[in-house]
Amino acid sequence: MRDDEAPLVERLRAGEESAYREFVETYQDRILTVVARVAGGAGDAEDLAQEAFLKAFAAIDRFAGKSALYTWLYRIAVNTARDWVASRRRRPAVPLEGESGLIVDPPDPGESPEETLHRRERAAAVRAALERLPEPFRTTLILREMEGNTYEEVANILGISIGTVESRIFRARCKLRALLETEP
Amino acid sequence: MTDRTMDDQTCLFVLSLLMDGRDVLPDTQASALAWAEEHPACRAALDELRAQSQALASAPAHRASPGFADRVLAAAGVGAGAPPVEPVLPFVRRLAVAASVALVLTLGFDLSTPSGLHAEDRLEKQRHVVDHFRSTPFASDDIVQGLRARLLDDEAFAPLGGR
Repeated sequence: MRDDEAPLVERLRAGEESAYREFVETYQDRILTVVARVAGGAGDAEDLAQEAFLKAFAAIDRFAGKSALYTWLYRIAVNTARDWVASRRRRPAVPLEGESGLIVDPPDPGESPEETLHRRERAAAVRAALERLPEPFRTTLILREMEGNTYEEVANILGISIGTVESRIFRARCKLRALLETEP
Repeated sequence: MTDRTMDDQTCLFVLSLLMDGRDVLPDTQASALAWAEEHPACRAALDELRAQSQALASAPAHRASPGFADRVLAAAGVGAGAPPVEPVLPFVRRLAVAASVALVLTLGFDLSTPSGLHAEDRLEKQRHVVDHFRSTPFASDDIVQGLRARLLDDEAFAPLGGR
């Protein structure tokens, strides 16, 4: 836990409403983003994010401070979304860019409109293929490529070794490439 | 001269690690780069992996809708005076409650229809249904009271009650 987080943790443990609000408002967008990505659709993302926060509130007394508060919450959120995926055993469609709640990727000033369109179509195709990637490759790749976690962070979040992360990310990339090649 | 133990897949694995800034033994790195230099297909595959990574990294972030924090705090029972909600309200439990209620109502309905049973016998069976439901792990006081009202006191079942 970072030193500057200790007062917030104490206030959360004391049950201060302002602390709960600060905690949620500080991390809500990042938690919502990761659960939406891992769960594979925006439909239930706010419900899952809420569930993650409630779990964190309920477990704050057990937060040992070995990691940053956000890392701890992030791990809870990822596991909440993974549990949801496992329970559903299906993949909802990827929401289109620009749907409610999504921050639209702005056009690159150096791109022509056609180039921007092509880039976005390509990105959408890759993300659609990602939805068809089997677990555990899909979540591992999301944590690395979309969330920008280091290999060490991915290993810590998923509770696997660095070697497993290395091989799993590589295999996920190759499987994703194969899926894109088979697309019409 | 390329390393004889190197192949496209191994080369791609090493280059994938390098792409992510991972440490690779200098000899292995040199072998992979030499292999890629001589094998255009391997280079092309690496370009595709790199493009995939860029496409995924550009995924849009999400933004919570207005009032999200209020809803979370209300669900937590913080400041809103609402009773705390369990972090996980299992879907299975809610489903089981709904199924039990439906079952009991169906039984009650069946018992309420003309079946040749004496009215008092049917009323006794309905009481039994309510008592049985009360013993299940899904029963709460509210639900039991609701069932009792529905099965025993409701106007719709007046003939059974002799009213």
